[in-house]
Amino acid sequence: MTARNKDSLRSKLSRLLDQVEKPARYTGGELFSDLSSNTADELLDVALVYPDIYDIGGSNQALVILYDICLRTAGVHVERAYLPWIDMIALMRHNDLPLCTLENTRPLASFDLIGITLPHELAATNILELIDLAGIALSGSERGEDDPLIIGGGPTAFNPEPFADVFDALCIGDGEELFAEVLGVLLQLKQAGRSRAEKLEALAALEGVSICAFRPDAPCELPPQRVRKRVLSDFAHYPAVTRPIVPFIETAQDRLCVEILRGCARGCRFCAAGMLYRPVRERSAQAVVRAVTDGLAATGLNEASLISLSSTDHSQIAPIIRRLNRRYDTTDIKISLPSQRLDAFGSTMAQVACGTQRKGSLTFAPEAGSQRLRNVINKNIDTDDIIQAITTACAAGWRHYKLYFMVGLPTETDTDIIQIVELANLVYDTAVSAVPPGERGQIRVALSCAVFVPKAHTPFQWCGQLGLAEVQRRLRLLRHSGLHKSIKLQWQDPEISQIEAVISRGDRTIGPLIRRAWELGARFDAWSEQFSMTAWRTAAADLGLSLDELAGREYALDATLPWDFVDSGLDKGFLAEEYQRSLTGQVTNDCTRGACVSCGVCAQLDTNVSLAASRSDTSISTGGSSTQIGLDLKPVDCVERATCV
Amino acid sequence: MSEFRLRINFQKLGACRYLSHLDLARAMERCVRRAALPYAVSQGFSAHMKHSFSAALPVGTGSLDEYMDVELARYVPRTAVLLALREAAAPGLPVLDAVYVDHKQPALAVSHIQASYEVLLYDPAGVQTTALMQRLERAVDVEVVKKGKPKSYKLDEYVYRNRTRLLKTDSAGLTHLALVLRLTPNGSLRPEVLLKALALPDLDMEIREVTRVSLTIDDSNDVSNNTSTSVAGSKGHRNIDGSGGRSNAARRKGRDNCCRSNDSKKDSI
Repeated sequence: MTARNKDSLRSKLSRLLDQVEKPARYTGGELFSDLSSNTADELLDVALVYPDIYDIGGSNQALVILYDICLRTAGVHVERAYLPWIDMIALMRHNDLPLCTLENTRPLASFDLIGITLPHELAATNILELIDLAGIALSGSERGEDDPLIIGGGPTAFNPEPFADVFDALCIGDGEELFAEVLGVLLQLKQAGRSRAEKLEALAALEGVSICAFRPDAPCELPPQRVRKRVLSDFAHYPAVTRPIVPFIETAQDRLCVEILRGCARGCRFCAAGMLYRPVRERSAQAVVRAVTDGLAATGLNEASLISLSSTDHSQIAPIIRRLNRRYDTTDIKISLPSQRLDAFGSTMAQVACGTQRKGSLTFAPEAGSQRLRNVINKNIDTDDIIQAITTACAAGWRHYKLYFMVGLPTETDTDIIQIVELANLVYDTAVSAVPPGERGQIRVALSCAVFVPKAHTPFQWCGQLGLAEVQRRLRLLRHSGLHKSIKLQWQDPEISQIEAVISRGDRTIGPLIRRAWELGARFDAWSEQFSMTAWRTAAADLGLSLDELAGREYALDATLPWDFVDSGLDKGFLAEEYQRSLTGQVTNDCTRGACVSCGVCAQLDTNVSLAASRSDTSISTGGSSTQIGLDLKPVDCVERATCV
Repeated sequence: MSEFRLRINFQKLGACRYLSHLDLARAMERCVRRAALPYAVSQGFSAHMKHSFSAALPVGTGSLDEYMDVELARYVPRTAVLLALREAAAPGLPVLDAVYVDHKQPALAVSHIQASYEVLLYDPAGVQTTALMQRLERAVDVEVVKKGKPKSYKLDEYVYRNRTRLLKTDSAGLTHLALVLRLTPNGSLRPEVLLKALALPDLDMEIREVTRVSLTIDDSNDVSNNTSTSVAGSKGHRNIDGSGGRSNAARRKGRDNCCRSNDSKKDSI
């Protein structure tokens, strides 16, 4: 690419900016982005891509971490790209302009390696859209020597089959060490002038890399390969990123994010993240406080969020918050906790949460209405706990609540649905009676329901999703079961959840389905106003498939599952036993607070739970309730996590 | 509590011109925090930095001369403040200067402001520009549709007509037009809105880029009578930082090296 070409590409793209909504999505130039061109000693060009618009992906932690690794790796030049919004895509296609990176407006096709994170199943068509917009062949088998290698990673990569055709390789598990190894291998082989096939073969030798063309049923001379998840060996001492790129425009996480712990061992049986990010590993209080203070000083952001799957579970959360509060007490800087559990919810936590977001709402995720069903999913709380939690939150100043439930969980009956309504009404009544009479009008309770999506590598991986007609019937029942008229009821589009289910447990036949749906116009499937069920239905019909059957497919416990070749460390026997225990409502404990539950991860992956202190004797309850309440509590801007924590 | 009002002079360059006013304000707030200045924080439940900005720029308009007022809780020598801010500045939003201003000075948002713009028009033949210049000179008012309602603007109240200049036509076929408009607390005209309204219905103007070149406070309350050819030192005008005149040429220089000489008032357009 000559300098002249680049300039003309840049000026052509910038001419479109006056015609699109939020042009600053496309202009980059943010603090801490690497604006240098690649230099002579930077041999490997890497583009990191998020498969949605900048507003969503600009603060994505996977990209933050991987970008930082690239910057620290000698010989690597890194840039970023995001999928443009539909208005910009239309203009780019009309003007025949390819998808380019933010830093130097370089076409993606000119890079050696394109890394795409797979945040969730519904990004599938966006991935095709961005590869096509980049002018690169959609199928790995059609890519030539001069094309970039396209490598994916992230939670959705744990079931690689639906993505086998698109990606050249997928990285399974923690990316920190694995991605650095991938860079090292590619640097070396590029220097040696090796071929694409040789590069893939070398990557296949790395633990945690699944080479799509080499897979069990792929026509390939190499033996079928089992892929083992990578675990960052020393998370506690791995440096947190304190100089992340600071976006100019507001992004999903418009704050400094410091990951205080990784993994969650609560063992909710529907939750893929809880199963896949094991074992639980914590950063020390000292490391967390330092990461927050360094990061805030470097970025100038006015909020730091202590992120994880379950932040109040950190064994040193109380001293961390005490120290940070003392440090930022008289400033305009806020510390927030995105996901808290109410079993750890004392007045300290209430104040922390309040200090940042009292005008927002608290999100509770009881997930199921009845005690029986909460036991089935291993989310053990009772109504007394909920009353106590609401009372504490009300006393601390919270007035708005959101409740998250799932419909269609295994073993669910109409009684369970009716009990969702009863629980929501109870929350409303409790809140109203817990505040002074004059403030009762301020109480808002919103009830949000999503359809249960069975996920690979969870105890419910053998279960089918409820069919659409039955989902609709249960939602009608929910609507007509006497919900208090002040409670706002909303639900996620069940059709979108069905597509999520089709992909999450899909096999290799799902790749062509995604491709066909994309050809028929499906993209931005996670955006309800963009989602087109017609495209997906037509695609399924074209291929002779049934969405209801694919989503509802049940596997026998002894069946070979499409993702069995991915070793998540979880013992399949453990998952099967968890499933059977769920059917009889037996709960399983959290191994960070009790005995090992033999999930298999530590033994299989030669790793260990690593806590900064003991969790049992560092209760953070401060004179208030110390009962175990299995509810999640989080500020409203993090609700996307609510259903999976 | 005594506070010190610091007036920061900065620029909005390159791709940063696509930032909204809100984005810009947040970016500058972050710059002040990174500079670790002892900024004052509002009392009350939701604490925030006490600051104000000069007239909002539309998305797509760059600027060589923007201002932000920040209240500092304690005095820090100006040189130290400036050094810290320049170091902390985000790429595309360089800090040129920072001075303490008296609290008696009018707030940035309530002053009448004289704003100079440079507009780049794509008009290789030059025919459209000539016609447009004539209309700029002669038109009495323009009608602009705002929020679906037509509103009429008297040009004499909003345009310093005698300071409108054709600067040059560059090698890329872009005509550079200097336009000076009056921003009032009650309303103002954007350069591209004015030009598009004047171009209707027959001229086909393609506006490529708009840059605000300078801002000065104008207490003269009289647009039409203003025959001054130089911003610097003319009666009734003073620079927003109270430092006397400073020319656009000096400011353009500032774009390159993010600083400027003290005797820039000698320069002229």
